[in-house]
Amino acid sequence: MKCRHVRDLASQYLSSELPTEKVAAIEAHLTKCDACRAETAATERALRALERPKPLFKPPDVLEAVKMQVARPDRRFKPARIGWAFAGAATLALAAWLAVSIHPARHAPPVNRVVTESRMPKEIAKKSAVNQPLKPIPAIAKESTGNAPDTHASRPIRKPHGPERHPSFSPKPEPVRVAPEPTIEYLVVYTPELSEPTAAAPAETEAASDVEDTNLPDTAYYSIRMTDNSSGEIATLSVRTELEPGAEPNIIMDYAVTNKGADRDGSERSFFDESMPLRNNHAVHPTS
Amino acid sequence: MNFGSGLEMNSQAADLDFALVREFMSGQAAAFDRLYERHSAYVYNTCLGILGNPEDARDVTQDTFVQLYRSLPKFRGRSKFSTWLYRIAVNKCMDALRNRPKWESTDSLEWVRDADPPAADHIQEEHVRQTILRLKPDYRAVLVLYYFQQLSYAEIAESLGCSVDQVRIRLHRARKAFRQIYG
Repeated sequence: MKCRHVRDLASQYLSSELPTEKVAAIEAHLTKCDACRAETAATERALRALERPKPLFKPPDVLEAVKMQVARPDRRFKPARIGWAFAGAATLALAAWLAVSIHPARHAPPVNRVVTESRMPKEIAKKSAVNQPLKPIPAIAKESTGNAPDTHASRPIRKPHGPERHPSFSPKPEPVRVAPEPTIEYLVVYTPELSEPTAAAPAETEAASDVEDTNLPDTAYYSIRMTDNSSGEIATLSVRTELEPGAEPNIIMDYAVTNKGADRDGSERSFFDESMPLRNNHAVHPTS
Repeated sequence: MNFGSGLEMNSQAADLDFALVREFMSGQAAAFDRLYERHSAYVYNTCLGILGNPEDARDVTQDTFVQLYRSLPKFRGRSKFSTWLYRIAVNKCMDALRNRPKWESTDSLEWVRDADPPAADHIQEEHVRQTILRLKPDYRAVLVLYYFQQLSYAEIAESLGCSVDQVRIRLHRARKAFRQIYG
């Protein structure tokens, strides 16, 4: 038997796992090979160290943790789903809020009773009834945010006064300007399509609005308009509700953004003309 | 607690384990507590020997018993409960080693000193464990199961999911590797 064979089988030899004839051959080799004898002795020391009884350590008590873990469903954290879940929840919340807050049956009186709406002045309602553009509703416009008066928000954007100068001409350093906060307008417009306002007394009409009425308006428009006073950018969320007696209200939403900052010639250009099918009703166009 | 007694070899212990499994399956939750008491020390020390880190060993022990809880309905009694449990533990250890970041590959042996074994054996004990932790995971597992937990070849084969011959070969190679590192 050669040295490499002896060294390869040393651990099995020391563990008494070899057949008798191989054991005899190894022992015969060891009697005449000092190197293999030294190597076998080193292997024996290593194996004796392995075979020495090892202390067993007391385990930490994880039984309660195990029970708590098995009590929970085996779900893994999936970050990718969190965003979708949040987006879905936000969308549902927005839809629910809109459905509740702008439901025609709750807030929108019939067209022939617009004059009795508590949050809408009579004169505005009358304008609405004759299909004219409306101003912001004062009672609601108080909710506007920003420093600019609400009435200014509806003014056309004007050119700056004074002679035109080259853009690079800057005789004085520009003063530090504080960007104005955006203005938010809440506009509510009711369709006049069904009929002209009746001559009925307001009190009588209002009382009648809480009971069944076959002359309910089938369409109403609402809008939230947000104006960035520094850039002139306007974002408008428009909602059209369609109501049929005995049916679920149909809510149609549209959202449009227009940037008038690049068109500061004073002319008004409603982005509804292209993006919204509400043009004929002038759902929100307070600046015209 | 059956602490430190190693794998119970007699059939009486195996029968008791099987009876506890059946009790648990019949709705007696306390049977799981008894299974935990009987085997937690053994599972923990196996994990500690393979992983070399008490925190990792605790986590894997917990994962092992969670897996046991969920897998008990699948236990048919074709093998010993203990080896079936240790197979779960070894697999969990292998998963932990695979998922362990490279920078954590140097295992901490502070716990060996903290354990305060007999002074005369302290250095050699630490050297043995340190040597084992420098081996491949497969070699670690077979050495720990054979030398630390005193399992037979057949039980190791069952725990590792391989044949007895494979255990013999793997153990032989593990000893050689251990010898080369141990010095």
